[in-house]
Amino acid sequence: MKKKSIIIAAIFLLTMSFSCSEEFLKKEPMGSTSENIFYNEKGINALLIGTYAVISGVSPVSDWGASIQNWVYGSVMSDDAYKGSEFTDQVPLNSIERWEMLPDNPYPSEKWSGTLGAGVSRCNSLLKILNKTKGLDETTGNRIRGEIYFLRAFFNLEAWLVFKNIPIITEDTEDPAKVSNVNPEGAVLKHIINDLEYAWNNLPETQKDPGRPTKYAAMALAAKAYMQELDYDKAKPLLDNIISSGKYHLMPNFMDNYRIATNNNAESIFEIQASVNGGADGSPNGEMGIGLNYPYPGEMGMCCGFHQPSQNLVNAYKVDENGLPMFNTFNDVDLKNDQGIESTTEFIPFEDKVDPRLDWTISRRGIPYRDWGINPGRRWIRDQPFGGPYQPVSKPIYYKNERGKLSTATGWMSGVNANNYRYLRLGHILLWRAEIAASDGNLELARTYVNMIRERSGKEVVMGKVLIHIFPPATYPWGAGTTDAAYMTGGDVDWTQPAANYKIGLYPPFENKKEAMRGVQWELRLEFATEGLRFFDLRRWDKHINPDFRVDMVAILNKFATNDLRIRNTMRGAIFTEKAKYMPIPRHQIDLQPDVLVQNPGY
Amino acid sequence: MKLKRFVNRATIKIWAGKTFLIVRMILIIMFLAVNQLFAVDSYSQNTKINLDISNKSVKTVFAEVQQPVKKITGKVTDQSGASLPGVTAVVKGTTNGFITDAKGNYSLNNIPANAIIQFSFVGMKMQEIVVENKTTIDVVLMEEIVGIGEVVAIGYGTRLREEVSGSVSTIKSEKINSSTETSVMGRLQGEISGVTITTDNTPGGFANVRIRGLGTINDASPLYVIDGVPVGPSNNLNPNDIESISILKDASSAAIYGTRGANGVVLITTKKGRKNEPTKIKFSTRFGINQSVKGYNLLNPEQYGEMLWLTAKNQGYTPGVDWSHPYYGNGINPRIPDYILPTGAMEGDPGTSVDNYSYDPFANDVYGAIIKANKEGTNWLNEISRKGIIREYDLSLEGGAKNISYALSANYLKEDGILNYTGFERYSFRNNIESTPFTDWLKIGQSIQISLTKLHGNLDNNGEYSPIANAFKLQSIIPVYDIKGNYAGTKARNLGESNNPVAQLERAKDNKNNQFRILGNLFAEAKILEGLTLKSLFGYDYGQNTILTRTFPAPEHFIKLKPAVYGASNNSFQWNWSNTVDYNTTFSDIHKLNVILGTEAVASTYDWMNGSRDDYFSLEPNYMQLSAGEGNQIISGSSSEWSLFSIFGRVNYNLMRKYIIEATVRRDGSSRFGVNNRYATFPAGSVAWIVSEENFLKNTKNWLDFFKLRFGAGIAGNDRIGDYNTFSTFGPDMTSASYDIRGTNTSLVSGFMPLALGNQNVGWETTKTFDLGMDMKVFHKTLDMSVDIWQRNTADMLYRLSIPVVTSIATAPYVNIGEMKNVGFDFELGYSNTAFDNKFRYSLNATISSYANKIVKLSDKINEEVVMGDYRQINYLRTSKGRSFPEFYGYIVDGIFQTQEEVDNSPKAFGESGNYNKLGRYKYRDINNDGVVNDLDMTYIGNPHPDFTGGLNIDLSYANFDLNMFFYGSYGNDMVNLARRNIDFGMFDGNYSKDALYKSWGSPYLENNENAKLPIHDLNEGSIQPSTAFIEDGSFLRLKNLRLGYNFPNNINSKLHVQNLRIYSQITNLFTISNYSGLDPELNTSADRMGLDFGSWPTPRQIIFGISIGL
Repeated sequence: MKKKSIIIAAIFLLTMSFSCSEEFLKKEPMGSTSENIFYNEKGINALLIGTYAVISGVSPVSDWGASIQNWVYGSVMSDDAYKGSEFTDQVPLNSIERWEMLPDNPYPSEKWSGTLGAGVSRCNSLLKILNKTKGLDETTGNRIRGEIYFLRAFFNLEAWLVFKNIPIITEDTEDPAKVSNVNPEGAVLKHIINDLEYAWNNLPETQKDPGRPTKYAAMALAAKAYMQELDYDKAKPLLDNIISSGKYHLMPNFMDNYRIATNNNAESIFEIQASVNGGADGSPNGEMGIGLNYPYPGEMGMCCGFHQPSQNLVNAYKVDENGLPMFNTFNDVDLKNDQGIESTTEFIPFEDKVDPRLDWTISRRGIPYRDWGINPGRRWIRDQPFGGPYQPVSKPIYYKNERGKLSTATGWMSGVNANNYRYLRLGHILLWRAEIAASDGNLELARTYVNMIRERSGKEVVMGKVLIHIFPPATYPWGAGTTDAAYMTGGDVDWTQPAANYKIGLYPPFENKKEAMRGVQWELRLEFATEGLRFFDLRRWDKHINPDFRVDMVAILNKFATNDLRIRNTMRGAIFTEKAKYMPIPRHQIDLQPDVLVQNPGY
Repeated sequence: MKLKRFVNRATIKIWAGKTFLIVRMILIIMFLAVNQLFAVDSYSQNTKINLDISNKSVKTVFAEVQQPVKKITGKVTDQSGASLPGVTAVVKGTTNGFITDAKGNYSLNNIPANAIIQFSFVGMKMQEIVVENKTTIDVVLMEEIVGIGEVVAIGYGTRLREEVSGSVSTIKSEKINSSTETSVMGRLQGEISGVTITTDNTPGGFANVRIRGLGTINDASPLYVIDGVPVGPSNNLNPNDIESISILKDASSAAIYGTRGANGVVLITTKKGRKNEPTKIKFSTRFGINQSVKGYNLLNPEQYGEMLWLTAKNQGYTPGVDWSHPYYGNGINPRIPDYILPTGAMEGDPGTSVDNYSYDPFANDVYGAIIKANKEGTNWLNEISRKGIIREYDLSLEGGAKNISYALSANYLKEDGILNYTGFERYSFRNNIESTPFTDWLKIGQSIQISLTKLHGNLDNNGEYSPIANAFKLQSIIPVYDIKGNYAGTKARNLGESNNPVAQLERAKDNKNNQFRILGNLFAEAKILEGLTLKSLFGYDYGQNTILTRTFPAPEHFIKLKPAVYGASNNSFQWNWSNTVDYNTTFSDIHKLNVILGTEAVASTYDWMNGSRDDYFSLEPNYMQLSAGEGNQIISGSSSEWSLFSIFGRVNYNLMRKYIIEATVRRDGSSRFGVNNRYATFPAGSVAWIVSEENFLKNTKNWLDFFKLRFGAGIAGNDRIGDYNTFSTFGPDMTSASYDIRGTNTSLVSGFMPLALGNQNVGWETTKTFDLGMDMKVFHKTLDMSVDIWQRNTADMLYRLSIPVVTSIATAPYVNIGEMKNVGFDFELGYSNTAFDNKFRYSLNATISSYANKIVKLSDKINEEVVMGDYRQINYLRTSKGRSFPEFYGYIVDGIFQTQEEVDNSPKAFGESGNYNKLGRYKYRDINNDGVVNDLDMTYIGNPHPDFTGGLNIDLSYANFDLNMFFYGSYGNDMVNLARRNIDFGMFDGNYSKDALYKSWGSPYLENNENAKLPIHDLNEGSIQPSTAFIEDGSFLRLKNLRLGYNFPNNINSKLHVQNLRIYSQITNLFTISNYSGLDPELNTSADRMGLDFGSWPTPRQIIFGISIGL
């Protein structure tokens, strides 16, 4: 009996072991896949799109600090713009504006992650898979490889601009974590150019998809890289090649470079595609990296008032009787502004002559703001004592009539829109070529290209002379009696008149290299103001050995900070020093790669 | 192989599918029928028996009966007032006795007046009462603190309390029911040593339970097992259904749960009926109110104006000259405007005319509301708080017949939150039924619990945009409503970015989260031989969650949103099938042996779906369903599954009831681990020595009743690392893997990106535990004590290694690399006695739990760190080798600069070019003495872990009254009141604290700057760095519970035709002693936000009245 029972018990235990099979314990992930399905053209293309997806800088590990528009490192850190908004929002950005950032600042950390992390690492893992893929026809394979190399160069260039000392990691690198960021002089540039050389040799002259780089995009990117080191000799043939290809033409209007309607136009060489309402909540593909940089007033319902243009920039648009910049005196006296004046108090805008690009680049009181209404001044500014009297920079904004269709319809960052960022356009090429010409002594060529840009800039001006100077809330948007007026009709605006006293003149022949170089440098600032280039341009011009060409970056920025106290005291005591030319290597990454990554000098 | 697979799938299908539901229905109907048949009255009638007292010591003391004899009747109840059937009442020294009937009544005849009556019952203390001239004697029997014969659940079995050799704590239903917490685990706070529980005060919120410190940086919550069925922590169990809870605290007891036991196991046993017991019906109800206790000390509009002016002056501006404010004006002093919209308008301004008013929630840009300033100031916290109503009804039935026993209950609970329009409801049903259909050799049974929990309203807690946070962030000058009664808000400039929390709560009133759950088991148990029992148990746990959240345009808010609906639904199903062979034997009277062998299979599937849309034509809640939305139609969903198979065994040997030795082993295989590490074995052992049984302690018998020493050691595992850690995966992603390569402006081409890096070698996280314990009972069992000293070493801790971003930004895999150590002690003390002739009864029960947590290793990198607790890009928490997980991290503040000399002589902050240092600002310490204060001078500055937590229960009763007091406290834990970063230092034009105006350096109200509590208020980045200035002592002592009850005497009960009737009144959270400046020092957060308080939902005060009736 006892024995029998024990047998029963044993059988009982054994039979219930039925599920002790490997099958039972084998569970595979759902809704995702493993690497082996990508070893074909379809798979490669899918991963390539996934690599383009982080070109704007926004990735799973980065957002505003990594924006491809470099509004932080190229603009807020320069004399072009302020952090804006208010002190308590994005606090770590205050120290960047004041050039006091420490290595634990989250902003540069995002740039590092967005470029070297999301960008370069996706390129390399894609190249590894591409190398294992068989059966691609040669042209396609080379084109795809060209695109990947272009992208890798692009991400490396972006990281190099901000940090200078970056690790060179390729698809052959065994352990990226062991690659030091200390390189021989010129090695990073050489790596970037190597990738781009492959790209321009293998990419077609035109691509079906406007988002993909062409042969000329690769050349333009290489030229941009050479220009950082003032390697004019190497840049020149590339630029000439692009210009003489005849593929690109200046658009009729300056503003065509900043309108959604003219995305991917004849002037474009490489654009960062922005897209909204394509199915992702909050439209993160609409260049969310500048998602905070839209007007704050409740009447527009956007966010958050960052990246306000500086008074120094506004002054830079002053012109003399001939419509030419006032190189030496522009910042002696501020153009009249409404700092400290309420919207309900009378303020009459200045009548000084200004470059017409001013009112496309910035938005100031008493001037129509695209189709949004008359800018009423302080009421539209988040914190005027802190961020100054100007609206967040205007170039990326959309038109009110595009709202909800070409701007995001979900989320709180409702400024996010489908305006592409023209990363490389003919304007850049012409002015870089002009810069080289000025240096070469080819003064006439420099003048020609600069004047081409200036001539085009005079063709379109902001229309509508505002007739009222006090803005009680009821005047929104166009003045008395209109609450929802159609753009350019009615209201307290004379639509037959330009909004301000615009004038732009063409340069007469330059007298010498110095004058030519100064003209080009000014034109680069005016044309591309607030587009995240200014700081890097100052830095490279500071490298000129020739005193006629050299721009003293330290002096310029410190003078800017001092004079800025006329407007606000945000920059009181801020001092720009040599070390701030480059961002600190993120402390967290150094901690993860000790004895591999070396901190930039001064931090 | 194929057949096996087929069987597996078929099994799952049957139980998951419709068939399953039908089977359930049939079982329920059968149960009800059986109940009717048997429950009527198969109990043997009140049988009067003669007790055969054969105890040799009994002498006929009262042989001669000289006094007149009489009849005595009475009723016997337990401490809770429930009647006790089966109690033996006997006249001391005689065989004259009686056993109480089903209603606890007894009657004794022929009792002399000088007789003493003894009342005794298993598990209760014997009581003796002198008859004197009484004819009615009602008796309340006290439970023995650690009653002889008390049976404790230990996992796949039970054991006598005294023979337990591991570290196991238990709690009975009575204690569970003295608290008003809605979650079962919340009610255990402070009641059991070694268990740290923080409660979430949101309606329907769950408690955070940690057994013996934090065993891992991963999910450190224990495993919950209800009646043999492993379930998730979010079980909406009705606390009234619980018979007892056992907590397996050390590995020697938890190793039987293998890979899931490392963080302790909570075994919940629900109430069952007893055979041959008449139906007991109990109805109880309670009702009361729920209210908030504390607020923040904020500025009114006049003071806020002063604050603005003070700040501007501190920043170097001269108000009235180069500085002005949009609505406080441009004067030398602030002036309070009459209106905040139009901005700063005064009465009589044409802009304030009602004719200008317009309000359209659909229009994109038209907002013409007119908002008057609230000059007295809006107290936002008052505006969103309310007195919530609490109601609970509970009906239970218990009983049994000859071969069946059952317990069933129905419960309804409704609790309104202390914030407007928040609350939850819970419906729960349970029935347990057991039957021995043939003879006693076979027992079959089943248990089922169905619950529906409905949460509603905005329950956002401890977040930057929660209603409470908005309430302290919003300026007081904003009124709740504009001039036309629509909500007022931050549309006008310089009013900040917070939502009107009154509107926020009102708009969210229909947001719902419904949780439906069925869990239970079916089992069969066969005694095929004396001592040999086979048991097969199938458990299941099905959960379904439905969430619907609506977003309404908030025209008054600075950013207006489109009307939108978000809906989500998920299902989880987990089943387990365990089979055990249990063998019990005793030979030669001194060798007692228990062996259990078993297998268990567990499988779990989870799937989810969610969708959202916006652009709604109408804002009617009925209209706003997912299908009605016109824009942005987004949908997503996926699923996951895991499985586990185990073999386990346990041997327990007891020699002479003095020496106990136990060994456990479990071998687990899990789908979550790499093929290389799929199986692991978890051994454990323990020994116990009941010293008091030894002869050499014989002469201590007069005071030492029981003394046991225990030692246990063992290994248990943790498998909570997600389901697919071994796989490197790629996937599409609308945000990060899609691009508009075609330049369409409004569409995306989808691509793929690396999602996660896999680790084929990942294995178990193992925790080794050593436990040395002692249990003692002295002074005739009035005092008992239990002490444990323990150490837990977690090795191969699964750590998601931070990888340099240059490697990849895909999710890094877990690797077995970290090590963590917890040491601590648990202490329990109970004292219980009576006085004044047993009329006054009192007992004290205290628990103290203490642990120290330390990271021994994170990775091979010495300075590997885990950074957590982000608020606006500043991280407050961190851990690294040698530190607790986590600790506060930041700068050390050495006071405030009082002299220029001090400023000049101090190292630069922050960085070499930094110019933070200034009179009135914080003086930061240069820790590494390199002459500059920078990020390298940050260090560990506080520990959110308490030195100890403790609970004290005081129970007093006199006659029919009883009083319970429960104190709970935590000592030595640091906290960061993040709300202070806003209200002391300013954030987004929000309101300020009174301290900011009156106690900041340079305040005109401050007589001496040396008394400044805060630095100069000039808005700078340096002063709000994480630092010791934000660290506060979070210690507190709180009277959690005060309850006064009254049990009606029998004569009234019988008039009312009830068995017993009890009423009570209760107040919770009556007072708190604490120096913490926030709303509530009792904070429930996940480990990665430990101690960070951003206006967490405070512990409410509840005032409750209750009644319970036994029929």
